[in-house]
Order: sequence, then C-alpha cells, then structure tokens
Amino acid sequence: MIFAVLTLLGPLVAFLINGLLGRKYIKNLAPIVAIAGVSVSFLCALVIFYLVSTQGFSVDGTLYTWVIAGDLSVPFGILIDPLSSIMLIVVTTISLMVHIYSIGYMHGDPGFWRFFTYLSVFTLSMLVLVLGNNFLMLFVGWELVGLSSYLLIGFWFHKKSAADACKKAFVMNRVGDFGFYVGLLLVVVTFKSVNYSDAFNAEAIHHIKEAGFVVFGMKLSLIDLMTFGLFCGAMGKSAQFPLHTWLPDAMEGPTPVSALIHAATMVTAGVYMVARCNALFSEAMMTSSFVIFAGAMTAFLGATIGLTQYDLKRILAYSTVSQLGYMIMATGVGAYVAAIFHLFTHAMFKGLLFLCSGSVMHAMHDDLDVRNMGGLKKKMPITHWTYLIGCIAIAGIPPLAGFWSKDEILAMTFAGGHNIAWLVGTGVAGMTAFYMFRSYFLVFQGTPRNQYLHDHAHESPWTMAGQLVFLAFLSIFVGMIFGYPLENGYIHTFLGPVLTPAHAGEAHHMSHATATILMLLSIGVAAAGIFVSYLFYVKMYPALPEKTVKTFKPIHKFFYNKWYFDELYDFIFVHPIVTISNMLWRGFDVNVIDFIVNAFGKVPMWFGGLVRHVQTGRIQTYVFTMVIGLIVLVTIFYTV
Amino acid sequence: MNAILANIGFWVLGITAVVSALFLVTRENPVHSALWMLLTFFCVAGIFVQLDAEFIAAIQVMVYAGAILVLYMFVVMLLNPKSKGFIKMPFKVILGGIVSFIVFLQIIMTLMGADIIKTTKLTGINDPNQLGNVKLFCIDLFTKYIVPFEIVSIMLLVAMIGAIVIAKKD
Amino acid sequence: MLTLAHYLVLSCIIFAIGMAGVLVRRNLIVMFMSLELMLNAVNINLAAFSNYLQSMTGQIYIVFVMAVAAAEAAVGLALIITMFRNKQTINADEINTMRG
Repeated sequence: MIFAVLTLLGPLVAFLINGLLGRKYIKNLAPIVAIAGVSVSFLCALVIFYLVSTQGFSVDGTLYTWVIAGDLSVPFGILIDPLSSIMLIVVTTISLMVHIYSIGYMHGDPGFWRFFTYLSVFTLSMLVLVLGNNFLMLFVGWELVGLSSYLLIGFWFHKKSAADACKKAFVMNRVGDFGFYVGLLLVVVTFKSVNYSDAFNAEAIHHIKEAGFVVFGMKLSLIDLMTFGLFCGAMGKSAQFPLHTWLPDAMEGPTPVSALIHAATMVTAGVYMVARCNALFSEAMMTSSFVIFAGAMTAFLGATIGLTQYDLKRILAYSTVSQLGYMIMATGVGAYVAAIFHLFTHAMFKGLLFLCSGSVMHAMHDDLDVRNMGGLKKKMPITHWTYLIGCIAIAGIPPLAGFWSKDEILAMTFAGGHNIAWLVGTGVAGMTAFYMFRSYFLVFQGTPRNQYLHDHAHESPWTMAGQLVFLAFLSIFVGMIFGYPLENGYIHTFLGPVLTPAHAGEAHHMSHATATILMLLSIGVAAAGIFVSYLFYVKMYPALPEKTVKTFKPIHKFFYNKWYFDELYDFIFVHPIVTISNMLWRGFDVNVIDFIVNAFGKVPMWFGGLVRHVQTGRIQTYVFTMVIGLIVLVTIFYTV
Repeated sequence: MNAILANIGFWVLGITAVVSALFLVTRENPVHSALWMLLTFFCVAGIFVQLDAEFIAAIQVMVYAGAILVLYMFVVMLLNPKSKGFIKMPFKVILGGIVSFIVFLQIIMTLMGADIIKTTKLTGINDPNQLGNVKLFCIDLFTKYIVPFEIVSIMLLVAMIGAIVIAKKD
Repeated sequence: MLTLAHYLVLSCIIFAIGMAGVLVRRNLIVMFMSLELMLNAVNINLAAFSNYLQSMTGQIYIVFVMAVAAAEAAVGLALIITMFRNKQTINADEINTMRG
C-alpha cells in the first residue's frame, strides 16, 4: 500500500512544485524535480512488480472514502494485482525515459518548466487510472489523461496546427467519453457500486446475465449495452476506428510527448480498461464481435495509410493505430493476456521508435519528410542501430519483442475461429514490416537526398541517445523473457489469474503443428514485407515505387489521404454544424435573441421617460404625494 | 375645585399651544417662528404636567426648549437666509392647507368612532406614596426597556458624529 | 370634566398645523420646526394614552421620540448647513438637483 501511495505521490509532488514555483524559481531545474518524482514512481513500480511476481502480493484497499451519496459510496481506493503492476512498469519506465530524453530534446524551449509540469500530470493521471480500484477513479484518471494530453499536444499553442490538433484530440475523446460515461452509469445502476470487486463478481454478473432490452426488434442484453458504452470510451482513448483521426494529428506536440502518448500513457488506457473489465466483456457476445471488427478494421486502416505517408512521425503514428487495432482485436477474441503482452512490448519498441524519430528530427532541423533524408547511417550510428532494432521488433522477427506478442494475438485469433480477423491481422503484419522498413531504408540507407541537411546532421547528445540504447535493449529481450515459450510464457503465469475470464475453460487449443505453421507463416509474411521493402527502396529506388504509385494511383491517393476520414467528418459533422451555427448566429441570435434583450432595455427606458417628470426634485411635492397617499389609505380603510 | 383648575389649565394651555403653532407656521421670519415654537413647547410641557408626566415635562423643557430650539436658533442666525414666507406657488399653498385639513378631519372622524374615550375620566397614574411617578418611570425604563434605551443612546452618538462630519468644513 | 378626547383632539390640531407647515413653507429650517411640532403632537398623544392605560410605556416612548427628534434635528441641520454652503440657498423650491 505504501508503495502504491508513493507511486502516486512522486509525480504529484513534482507537479505541485514545478507548477507552483516553476515559472519564477525553478526554471531550468524543473527536469530534476520531475525526474526525481518519476524515479520514485519507477522504483516503487519495480518493488511492487517484484512483490507481486514473487510473493503474489496484492492490495485492494481504501485510502479514504471519497464520496458518500445515499447507498453509493466511492472510495479512493488502490488496487494492486498483476495487471496493474505490469501497467505500472510500462507507464513509469516509458515515462522516466521520456523525462530524461526531454532534457536534451526540449533544451532551450521557453516553456521548459511548463513542459515538465505537464509531463508530471500526464504520468500522475495515468497512474491514477491504473491504480484505482473502482470505476470512478478510472474515470478520473481517464479524464485527467485527456486533459493532460490536450495540454501537451497543444504545448506549442501559438502554432495553429498544434492548437487545432489538441482541440481535435479533445473533441474526439469527448465523443468516446460520452459512451464511456453511459457505460459507467449503467455499471453503477446495475451493480449499485463502483468498485471493481463488486462489478466483476461472477455471481453478480450471472445475476444480470439475462437482463436486457428489446430495441427495434433486436434483443440487447444489459451487459452488451454496458460494455459497448465502455468500449466507446476505449475507441476514443485508444484511437480505434472510427475515432482514430486524432492520434496522427497529435504529432503536433513535442516528440517526447508523442512517444509518451503512443507508447505508455494515453492510448494504452483503452486497452487497459477493456482488459480490466474482462469479466464483463467476455460475457458480452455482441460487443465482442464489434470489438473484433473495430480492432481488425483499425489495424488494416492504420497499416494501409502507413504505407503511403512521407512524414516520419506520421508513419509511426499510423503504425501505432494499427498496433492498437491488434490489441483491441486481441481483447475482442478473449486473448486478454496477449493484448496486455502486446501493449507491454509495443510500449517498449514504439517508445524507442518515437524517441529515435525525435533524434532524427533534431538532426534534420525539424524536417520530417523521409524523402529529404537518406544515408544517415554513418552520421547517427546509435540512432541508426536502435531504430533498426525497433523496426525488427515491430515487424515481428524473432527473437525480438514484437514477434512474441503479435504472434500470440494472431494464433489466438485463429484458434478462436475468427478467420477473417486472422487474415487481416496477418496481412497487416506484412504491411507493417513493409512500411516500417520503408521508413528505415529511406532514412538511414541509400544516398543523401538533401545534401545540406545531411551535412548538418549529427548524433544526439547522450541524454537522448542513452534512452534509445536502454529501450533498444528492452525491445530485444522483454519479449523473450516474458513470452517464451509461445502461448505458455511467463506472462501467462503472471497475468493468467486476473485476465482469465470465467468461461475460459472452453478456450480452443491448437495442435502443436498448427501453431508452428502459424508461427512460420507470420515470420514469413514479415520477412516478405521486409524483402519487398528492400526491393522497393534500396534496390530499385526510386523507379519501382514511382511505377507502383502510377499503376495504383487511385488506391494510393485514397490511402495517402487517410481514407478521406477527415474530409468525411468535415462533410458530415463539422460543415453542417458550422453552417447551422452560422445560420443561428446571423438569423436567430442577431434578430431574435438580441432583439429581445434590447427590448428588455428599451421598454423600461421608454416607460421611465414617461414617468420621469414625476421626479421634480422638490421635497414638498414628495411630502404632498405622501400625504395624499395617507388620505387615500385612510379613506379606503373607512369605506371598505 | 381641583377639577375646575385642571379644566381652566387645559383650555388655557391648549389654546395657547394651538395659536402659537399657527403663528410658527405663518410667520415670515424664521426667527419669529423659532420663538413661537418655544412658546408651543412650553405649553406642551404644561399639558404633560396635567397628564401626570412630570418627568417628561421636565425633559421637554430641557431638551426641546433648551437644546433643540437653541440649535435651531443657532442655525438660523448662522445662515441668516433670505428665504421667507411660503412657497412661490399660491395654488399649492392653498392645496397644502386643504390637504392638512382633510387629514385633520379624518383623524377626528376616527376619534368619533370610539365612544369610550369621550366618557372616560382620566384618573392619573401617580404612585400614592411618592411625589410624582419618576420612580415608576425609571423602573420600567431600566428594566423592561434597557436594550432599546442603550440602542437609542448609541443612535444619539452616531447622530452626533454624523452631524459633525457633515457640517464641518472640508 | 377632562376626557381623553380633549387631549387627542388637541394633539390632532397641532399635528395638522405641523403638516401644513411642512407642506407650504419655503424655508427648510421652518419645515424642520414644523416637523418638531408634529412630533410634539404625537408626544401629547402618547402621554394621554399612558395616563389612560395606567402604564408607563407611553412615557418611555416619549423619551425615545425625543431622542430621535434630537438626532434628526442635529443631522438635518448639519445637512442644511452643508447645502447652504454649496447652493447659497435653503429654499425648498429651489433645491431640485434630483429632478428626473
């Protein structure tokens, strides 16, 4: 318990110190405070992880009762179990790396202290989300994450694109949060409690299993409705189709923030929530189907868009969208362990890739167009090697991290009989390998395409490069440590108790041969993707890519413009709302509301003009009026 | 014998009070008005004595005739204003008289409605063992009405400070 | 024989005269004097009823009325002095700054 509280206190104290004293007193020392705070969290997370893994340590306790309203009481409670402990590791590790990296990256920025203040809040909010033992604390963390991501994406708020991006992220999340809120209320109404322990009680769930409504002739069970609401929130936070559009735009924030959002804090919240609510989700058949659909769709969408982008950070962003699709898909098929495992490994290599891209960006004077790069291998050896490791990890080549988790997801999907989802997943794995290596080849191999930028490129300082090495190290080994042997690794022993839904007994087990074939298939697809990429961007560059683009021009354009989602939303939502608002403003507001308001001013003025002459300013007139009033009163008194 | 004396006293005092009040209102010169007011106050003090309110009569003479009137005289002398007589609108002067008369009539009408007051002889409230009723008065004032009494004293203090602040040259 | 009615009528007459004075005089000081007259009429009333009801309350009220009258006279006259200083007049019909 004490460690959990310390975990929360670290960033909180750092935030308070930096937030209150940063502008005047701390200034450039802000990172020391922030890093100290996160380090405390990191150490506590390690201790907690150690305790949980070796001694089966777990806590479900109340610090104090926060809200009491009638029968409902909301504790400020802490829950430590394998799931939250592994999330703690992810969040604090990436957060610490990002903090240290930011010293070098954000050096000289006028909002230096502000940046670290926000980072502390971001970490804190994610920790609250992970550590809470009830839905309301989850919600608080959820909204805090939304707020802090808004602040960080819009960190350079004087840039219009950044200001727009943070607004977009906020609004998109709000759409999802509406669903989340509805789901939350349903949970509260159904279980008469916000505590996880009450809601995930097998007996309680069994009790409401049959409850439901008939809407438009379709029978919706209560659990379906509840989980669908919750999943809407996850769609917003974890950038699932169709609410994914904010995530690529979130690139407008500083690169360390992107790393944090993509790897550890923001987008993982949705996956964590679904995994946390596995007891509910595994009972909701319809929602599960939808979850698989949304996940597969997002994975495919992200991969296809990623194929065509030229902006390095955008490529990474769409790969995140795609990988999140994998995780969500995994939760949909009931492979919660695999989902969290992928979240874990993804956090490592995606954090690494983003920090590498930041390093490249630093070297290239904030130019992110991969067409202007090339040949950076010699100039930036550390970044080059770590980026390569990240790419291999995400492509799914054993024995690096991505292989273990991705393969498990695909195997579980296949075993669950979701063949289309499996097919999409495998295809996406190939595409992922292709576009990740595309970015790698374009940036680091070949010949420099912009000599000026290339001449000025340089390796980043050790505050940045050190984190790359550390994360690369993790990317190589965590998968093996936790994932070997496949589908039976340590991660299963560890997370199994909390993430195995009640009816997991019927989980399909494949024969060993099938599993091996699937594994070889996914390695083959990844290798093919890398080979095609090599062919396209090293051997026959730029002839072959150009020819391909020409041949498939409409499709390329469609993917390049991100499936026209932004335009579609503009057309369906933004444009009509703007038009209607304009109409209301010029028509209704000016002519009707303003008229009424003005009338409220004008009518009394007019009457006042009529009666102002009564005010003669002479005392005698007033006295006279008073006496007349007296007479009238007495007369009335006598006559009535 | 006593009753006849009382009767004579009432009529003399009453008529003097009314006449001097009339003079107060009608004299052009404010100094004259103030002097007539003095006479009215004395007559009213006499009426108080008749009503067994000797203490009130005493403070009527001291406070009203002694203090307030002197204050008025001071201001009149100090300002020596040239404003005399009635307001410069004869119509309104007549109207004011009429309105006052109507109020007077209405009050009289009210009195006529209550028969009891015309037949009741006033017996007086003198304590037989004491000369006058100051003791009775004071017992009531300093027990039942002690809080209002204190409040009034504070109000007087406030009024005094206020008057000084307002009137002093700044 | 003197009854309560005698005193009440007397106070009533003085009250009416005072009211007429407030209504028709130009001089603010004389208006104030008329006000004092009205208060005195009320005092007579209170004394008469005190006698009639065999109670001291009426007389105590007279003391309070006198205190109020004194306070009012003090503040009122202070105001008149200030006003005269600013406007060089205390004619009630010439002071109409508050006209609407």
